Amino acid sequence: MGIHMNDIDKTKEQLINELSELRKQYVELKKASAALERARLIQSQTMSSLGVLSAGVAHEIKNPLSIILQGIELMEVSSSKEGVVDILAMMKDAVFRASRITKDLLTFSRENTPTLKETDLAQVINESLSLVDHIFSLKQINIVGKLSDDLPRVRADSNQMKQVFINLFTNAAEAMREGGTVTVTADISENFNKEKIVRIAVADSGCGISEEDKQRVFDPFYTTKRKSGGTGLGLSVVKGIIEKHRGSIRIESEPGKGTNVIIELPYS
Amino acid sequence: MDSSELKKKILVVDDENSFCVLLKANLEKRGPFEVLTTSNPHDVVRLAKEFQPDLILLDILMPGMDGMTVAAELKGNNYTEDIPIAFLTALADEEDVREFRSRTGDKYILSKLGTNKELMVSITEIITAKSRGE
Repeated sequence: MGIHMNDIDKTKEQLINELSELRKQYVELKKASAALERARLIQSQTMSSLGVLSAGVAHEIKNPLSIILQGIELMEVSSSKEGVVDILAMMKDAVFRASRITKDLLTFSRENTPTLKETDLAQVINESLSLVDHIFSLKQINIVGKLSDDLPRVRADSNQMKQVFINLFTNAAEAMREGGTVTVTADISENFNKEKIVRIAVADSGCGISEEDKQRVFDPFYTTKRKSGGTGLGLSVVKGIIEKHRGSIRIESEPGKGTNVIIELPYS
Repeated sequence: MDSSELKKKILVVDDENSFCVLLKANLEKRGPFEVLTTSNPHDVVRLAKEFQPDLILLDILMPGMDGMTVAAELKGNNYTEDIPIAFLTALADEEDVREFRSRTGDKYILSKLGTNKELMVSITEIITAKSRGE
């Protein structure tokens, strides 16, 4: 017999050691998994309380804002003095900005579980475009649509997806102060896991994003548009929605060379 | 013909008295409207019976009685059941309302955070639809 007892013992000992190591790893993994679950639960409870609180706060803030707005509009029809008109316009902008902040905060803090249904993404994209059409016309922005004819229906929440696209289109418009082109592409592909995906890209010819900003654009409250009313919640809300659809989002951009936002959504 | 006969009558119901006062002033200054306001939701049916408005603008969240309950009371009364009601709310902003409208075609939800210009367009639209029997 070619195998010595010594060898068998050694192998046995080795297996016992490995098994013991595996047991340790399993226990550690279980602990980590339980900790993660606890953290998720805490986050979910925090977000849920924050959502309830935000909804109340949003309404309580919007009511006085509506009174201020009515006051401003009454002064507008009562005064035609040039300086006063300008001041009232600025005040009105500030009211709309405050209203937008409460709305974004509310959206961000809500744990919105998507209602998934078979969805025609091309239709959602076109409907979203029609809602921002007036902004594009005003800023002389051309829209180029390259939506593949054979896009499959994707299980998605059409309202949430509309919110995603409106956000991306509005961001693109804000990046192109001198006008430009927004190209929306949608086609089918595979991701690195060989999963079938629909890839949607929203590319603009605007000012682009620096490397530093690119690292942080999805962080809540991070904004490069604070002066013009940005709340820094738009893209974090977008990312949250895409991730709840088991998708991914990334940004390719260079200053002066425009921005391309790429969304990948699985389908089967 | 008395000019007041051409004016459309609006009853505004909102628990924020300042909002009522300012909205009344704005609407009466900007368009052919006669506006009556109340901050007490319990008074709405009585006022609607007496004033017979062309439209009631009703807040949704009010202490004491919410807008939905007030609307149900109005619809359950022979003297007020045919008066159109639009909900004027701070819960939705103008963008939400536009999107809701484009999706559902419903013109009876209006935002308190829209401009009076937009509000008057919606009011006229609702009153016109009512006069056409829609």
